[in-house]
Amino acid sequence: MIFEALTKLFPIAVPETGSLTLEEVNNMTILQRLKLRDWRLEIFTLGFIILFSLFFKIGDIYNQSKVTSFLNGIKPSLSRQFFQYGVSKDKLYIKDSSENYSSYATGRLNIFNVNIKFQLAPRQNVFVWILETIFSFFTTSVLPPSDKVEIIIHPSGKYDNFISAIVSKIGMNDARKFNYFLSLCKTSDSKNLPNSFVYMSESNEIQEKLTTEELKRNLSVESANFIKYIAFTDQPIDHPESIREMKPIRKVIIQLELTTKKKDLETLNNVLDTIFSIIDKLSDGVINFKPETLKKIVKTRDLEVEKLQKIEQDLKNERLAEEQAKLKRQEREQLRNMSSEEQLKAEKKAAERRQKKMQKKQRIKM
Amino acid sequence: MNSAVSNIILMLVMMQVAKKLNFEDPTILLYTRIFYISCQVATFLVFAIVRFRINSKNDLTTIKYVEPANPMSGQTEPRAVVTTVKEYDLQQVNSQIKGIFTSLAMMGFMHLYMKYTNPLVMQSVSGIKSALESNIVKIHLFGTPATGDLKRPFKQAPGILESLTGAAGGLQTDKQSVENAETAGAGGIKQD
Repeated sequence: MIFEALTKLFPIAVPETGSLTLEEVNNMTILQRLKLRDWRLEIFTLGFIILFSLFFKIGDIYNQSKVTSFLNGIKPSLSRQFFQYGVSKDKLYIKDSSENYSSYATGRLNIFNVNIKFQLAPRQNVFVWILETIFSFFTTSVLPPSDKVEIIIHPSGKYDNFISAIVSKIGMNDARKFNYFLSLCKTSDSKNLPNSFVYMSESNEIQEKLTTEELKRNLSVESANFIKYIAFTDQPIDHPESIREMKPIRKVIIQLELTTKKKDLETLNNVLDTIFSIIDKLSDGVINFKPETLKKIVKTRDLEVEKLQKIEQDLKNERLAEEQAKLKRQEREQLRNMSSEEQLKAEKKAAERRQKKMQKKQRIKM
Repeated sequence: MNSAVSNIILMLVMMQVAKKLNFEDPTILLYTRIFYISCQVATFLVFAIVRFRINSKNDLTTIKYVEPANPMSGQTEPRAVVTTVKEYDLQQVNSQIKGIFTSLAMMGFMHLYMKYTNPLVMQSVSGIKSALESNIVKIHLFGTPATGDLKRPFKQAPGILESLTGAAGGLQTDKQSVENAETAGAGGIKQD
């Protein structure tokens, strides 16, 4: 189809090479000789490649500009709070690929480091972008392409293990679906928050105490459009498959929809400042929780561990059963390979063995 | 009238109508096609209006319910769903819109490839009828209050498998089961 359209657009008269004599060809210049052949397919392919690379570059640059303006947008907070903001002194981020970027901050009391991870829409690859957009409408397993930022704060100060999060109501079911730690929490509306946010937390006490006046002031109804969740957690994002993976690692995860609006970035700066100060308060023991609450949390964790232990035990049992079945099969195979006399002998032996067992049992009973 | 009963009556009537029409005649065929397409467009418009209404209402009330386990789709345990009225409604509308596209694809195959024209007549009216009868349209287009049968989450008609096995399918909304499922740690499972 494309080729026919091309033919219509560029009707090139191609002289047949067969009609030329050797002498004529010898007399032609290189350009003339090249013109003898039909190059349209090559031109089309080349044009397509050039166009694709052009789109690739445009998407790539656009993604990069988004990342840069976001990172510069949160600079006020992070460079005030941290000794080092950026992956090195003069580099703000590392480009892992056209859609993955990461950045870093370190050098602050009570905090080991901050990892900032970007997962952007595949703008560089137009085809993937369009396909993902279409598929996301028809299936739930493909997500619509979007620009996600995850700010992961690793605190170094010690405080209790708990999960408590403020989650945007927009897409909160997905948040629960993709994050193991959120699916351990109870969801509740609260007057403390704008009505576009909910709490997902293990205990009411914790969520109330973590929502400081400052945080309340900084969150508005509109912030739910770009703040997906702010979560304090010690449990992993992925569902643990072994008990080792359940080992508590305290983290604060702020997941965002990438925004470059000035107002949003201002809110974000304030929210980040507030979160850092909450971490300080937790580490200094200014915010602390009732022992009953903490006991309850430990109990729910134990329940999860038990679940995993049961799964592991079941797996072990299954493996054992399989092995036994295999042994039996081998025995039967051996029997089949023996001559009839040998088979008889073996059967007799087995019968004797069984009898002995029975006798033993009877003796015990008596 | 019950929607199932009226569906059957409609089907019988449309069958008679389809019998009377001579599909060999190109003008009749053209009009049938136009009729079918315009019915589908009308259905789509109804849903588009509903979508617009949902978005402008922006009802962020939280609703919770428990989805039953569905071994067919690899979901072994009941899963708690925590969502908002807006999101729930949008999901309902989107699945209806998806339905239009699937029926269009089916009809395209039946009509263009298999050369059947009868289903075109039947599907055109029944599509728009079922759209107007759906819960989500009742709430947002006709302004019926969302109580009783229209209380979210909507009750689902039992599937073929469930009605055969008599298993207790369906959504649960009672407080106890929601609370249990909500904190069961069913999230973050890698699907590949």
